[in-house]
Amino acid sequence: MCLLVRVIVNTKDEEEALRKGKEALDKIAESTASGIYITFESKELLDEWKVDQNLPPVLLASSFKGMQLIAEGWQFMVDIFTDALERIKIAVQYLSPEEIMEEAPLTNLPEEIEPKISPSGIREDFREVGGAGENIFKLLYFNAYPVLSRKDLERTLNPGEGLKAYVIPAAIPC
Amino acid sequence: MYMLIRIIVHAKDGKQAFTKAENALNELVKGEKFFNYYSTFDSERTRGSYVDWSHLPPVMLASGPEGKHFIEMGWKHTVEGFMEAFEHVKLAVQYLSPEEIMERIYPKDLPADIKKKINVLCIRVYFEELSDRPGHPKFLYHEHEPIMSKEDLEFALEPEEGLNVYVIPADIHY
Repeated sequence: MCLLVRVIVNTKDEEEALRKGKEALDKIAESTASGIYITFESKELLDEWKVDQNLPPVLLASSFKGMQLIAEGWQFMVDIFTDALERIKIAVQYLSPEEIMEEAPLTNLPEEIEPKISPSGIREDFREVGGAGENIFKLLYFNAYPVLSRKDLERTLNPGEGLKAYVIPAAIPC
Repeated sequence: MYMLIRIIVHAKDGKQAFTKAENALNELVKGEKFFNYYSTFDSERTRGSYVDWSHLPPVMLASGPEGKHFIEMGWKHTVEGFMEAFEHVKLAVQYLSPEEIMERIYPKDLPADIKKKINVLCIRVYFEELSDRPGHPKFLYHEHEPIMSKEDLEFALEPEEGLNVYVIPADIHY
């Protein structure tokens, strides 16, 4: 299975956007388990990887398809963030700091709460909300940095004079 | 900022321990994901740090009085850092919405006394500090893996046949 990562870059033209996008993807892929990615230039590889999306290698962020890609990526990230925060809220309410630190087995939790949290997963949830970069759940990047807030996203979509915001989609196996 | 971390390794002798620790430290600064750069204590003095740690030997036996104390202090700082971050996170999940945590903004109606206790600009950093990611406030490492619980520490210190357990201090920038 592949995740569709979206890299936003601010450049003068498409050619530069693709080059900068690939530089960013090199760094992003480095911290994933597979260490590899493919852009939408390589149709054969996309078929081989069973990526069924049909996208151009570079899109203007302000185009209909570009906006759609960014909005989907952003929504996915918000959902992951919100779910992780919800589990943290429960953990903080029902577990002591020592229990969280030691990833202690859950005991004496109300029946309806127990299935909602896992002691071994809570550290990952903290990482997710903290926004640590090396995480394949980040689907939206500005250069090689994950877009962590709406403020970040707005900044990336409003480049300086003479530059345009582009989005480069890429598939990363997960 | 700089912090003094401790790398625990299993090795035949001090020389091999030091080499193993250097490999672990190189892993921790790789790509500047977790830390930026480090200095060990085999040179004249540590780089950049404003605290004088120059009295430390480059390698210590974990079971010796000096090594033991050094590890205990590392664990103490790790626990203190965890507790501090936990208090910030507890307040954040109690008083801030997911959007406010994500965007690092205060709610409009937050009482002044609570506002004083929450450093909203750093709030996501506190979540990250509770995660499984290397970095502040994890002061102890088993090779390059952060030691996050007593169980982790006991495992790191468990002797292996034919090998000694060593601790190597490093001044590291994050």
